Amino acid sequence: MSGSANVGVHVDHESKEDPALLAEFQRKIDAGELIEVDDWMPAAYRKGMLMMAEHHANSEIVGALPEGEWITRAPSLRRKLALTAKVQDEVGHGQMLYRVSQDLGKSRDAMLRDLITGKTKYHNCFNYPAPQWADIAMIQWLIDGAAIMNQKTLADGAYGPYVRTMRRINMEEAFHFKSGEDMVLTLMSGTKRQRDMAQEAFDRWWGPSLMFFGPPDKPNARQLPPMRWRMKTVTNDDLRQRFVDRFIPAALDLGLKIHVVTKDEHGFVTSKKPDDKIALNKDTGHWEFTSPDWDEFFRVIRGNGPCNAKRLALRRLSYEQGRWVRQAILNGSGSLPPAA
Amino acid sequence: MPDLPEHLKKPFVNMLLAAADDKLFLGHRNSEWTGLGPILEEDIAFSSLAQDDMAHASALYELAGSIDGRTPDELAFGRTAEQYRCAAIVEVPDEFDWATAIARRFFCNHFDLLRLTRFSQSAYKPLSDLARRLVAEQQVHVTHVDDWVIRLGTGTPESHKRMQQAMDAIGPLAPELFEPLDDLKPLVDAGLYPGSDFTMYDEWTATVEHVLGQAHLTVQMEVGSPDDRGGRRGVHTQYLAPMLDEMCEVYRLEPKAAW
Amino acid sequence: MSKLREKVDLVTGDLESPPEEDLKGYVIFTQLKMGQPHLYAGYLDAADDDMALIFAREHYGQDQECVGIWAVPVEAVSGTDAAHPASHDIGGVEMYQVFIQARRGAGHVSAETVQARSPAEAIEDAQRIHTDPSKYYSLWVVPQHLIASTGPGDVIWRYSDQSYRLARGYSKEVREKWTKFRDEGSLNEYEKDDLKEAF
Repeated sequence: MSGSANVGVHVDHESKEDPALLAEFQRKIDAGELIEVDDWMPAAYRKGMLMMAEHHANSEIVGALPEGEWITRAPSLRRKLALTAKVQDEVGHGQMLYRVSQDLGKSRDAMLRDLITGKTKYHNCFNYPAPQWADIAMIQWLIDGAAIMNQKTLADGAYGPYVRTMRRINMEEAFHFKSGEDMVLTLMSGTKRQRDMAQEAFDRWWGPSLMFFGPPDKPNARQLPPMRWRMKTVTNDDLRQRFVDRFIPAALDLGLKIHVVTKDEHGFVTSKKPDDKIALNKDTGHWEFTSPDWDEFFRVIRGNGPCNAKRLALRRLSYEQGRWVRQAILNGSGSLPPAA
Repeated sequence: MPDLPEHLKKPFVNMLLAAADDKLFLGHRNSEWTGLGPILEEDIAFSSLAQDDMAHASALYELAGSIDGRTPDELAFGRTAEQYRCAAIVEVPDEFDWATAIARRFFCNHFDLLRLTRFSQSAYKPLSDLARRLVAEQQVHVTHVDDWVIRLGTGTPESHKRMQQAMDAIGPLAPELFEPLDDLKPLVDAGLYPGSDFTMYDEWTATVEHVLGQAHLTVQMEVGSPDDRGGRRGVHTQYLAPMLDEMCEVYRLEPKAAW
Repeated sequence: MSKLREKVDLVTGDLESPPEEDLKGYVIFTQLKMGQPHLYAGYLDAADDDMALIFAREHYGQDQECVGIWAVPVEAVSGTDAAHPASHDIGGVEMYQVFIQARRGAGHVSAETVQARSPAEAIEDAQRIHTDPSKYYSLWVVPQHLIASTGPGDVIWRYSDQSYRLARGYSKEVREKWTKFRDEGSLNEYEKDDLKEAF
């Protein structure tokens, strides 16, 4: 899942680089060639790609937590199997993306330690709670749906190792999204209680899925290094528009209502009113909608979201509990009996 | 579907449920680790094995249901605690201790390999066909868990100590896997469950002790279960009911609904 | 443990334990059918060859039906690319497995084996076979004895129904369920953004 749209990749200082090398680098990018780990690249590009892949990897393994809570409560054998496989895929994506970052010069251990001590970030949306089974359905439909839109464009990027990993990840996202759709459709075809659960979960996840693509772009986004160097290929706002153009009509046809909500500090909805901006603009062909609460977005990103502390604490526990295991396989003799 | 004699249906289904319930809860317990494993690669692998276990349970429920008319989900989610036939070893929590998780898998995986091998020789063709596929997958589980037991048993002094503690805690529960099922004898006589559990127990202890020897670990086991417990008779540990409540939390909201 | 997920202690601050070493990096190749080449699948970290194969079987081996896996330590790879410099040190003659990267950005695919006294010599030999530089982008060589391989007949891909973890296991049902809510036209429009499931 996840994706890195909202990672703040601040890339600058390119002026320090050799202009000839920089020009050749830009030529390759503009010609659609892939940059490989051993190619010359501006220091800022290396740093930016490392940060982007690391953020993406962090997001995958933290993203495994909210859904992981529901594996033991999945309501049928097939859902139980599917959710285990889905969360497993996320850990797999994390593993592959950490390798991309390792090759750019940072050890996996250093990345895990920076993550659990709060020195690096992960995707904002995993700091929201998933209090009901229907949240799992909505996460897989909306958040994975958003991730697919994002990652499809990331697979058109310029950094070879990241692009190859993204292509592989996208294969598995197809399953996540279909299974999410199936759950949402099943709930909306079900009893009143199931439909109500779906609506409540939709109210919780609509905002985070709009925020998924990151804050509104700066006016010169296309000229800034992340896009000039094809670290990303589409602006946040364009991606968000593609997302709403696909999901607003689908949600309305399903009988879901789109609300503007307020939430308490635990991420639960305290009040809601219909989003009266929802309408198809016949002139542009695009759907209009109320922007999410960007103050909330920045508050959560700074670590003050409903679940930030819990997510990190659980990852930290996993790291600390696993230490003796890693020591045993790393330093173990593997053949000699241990000292009595 | 080939016919089973009427009087053998109940014990046969009971036998399938014991196997399926063991697998379901082993997979369920192991899936608690998904996303939290000690190494990302093993997290992925452990989830894969947990899926196999739950998929095996599902296939066995389907077979049982083809005889007694219930759906796999009704069998997995729709029974009361005393109607389950699993052994105590799959019920106890591992308290997020990797050594306990591995020790549990070790005993269960070796047991399941032998049980499924017996099933693969059953005179009931739908079972022998299914079990032949499951045996091949079960071999993967045994290879995987043996590797871990040996690595941790012979790894560092700390890993050895933790593994030995886990063996001491989990080992005594393991022989309860062999608690006799109701009316097994007619199934054996009819070739539906070939072989005797006594030879199976000997095979199992020999393999288990061989691997533990390589791992420099020991285990204390005695045949039989305590008088006040018997998973195969539906008398379970205190851990099954809460695990079941958690597992069925959503299912029970609308048991008739599709999810 | 599910309770543990709910009631975890909210510990923060620096870690008490010292940093750890990473495990060894491996490149994993999977073979989809007997007799076919091994295709680049991805990387993983493991303590040794056996563990690399065990991990690879449960990760890359479950992406799609496959019959064989190779695990190659990253450090055993020499290539024409700058990331894998080839040693010229002459040793005993041994067999090298050659891998071809057809075009920039593609994954490496196993080709023939060559006999050589050093990785550099093996690359030269391979280049004599692959004379047309337009047909490939880069070459890797790996001493054959450093490739850990699953055995013939080893179970990798599972026999049990895997449809629950594949998009195609849902597509038909999902489409049917949608038709209760949406007309053909808007459904087709919506499905345009679907990902195709193919490795």
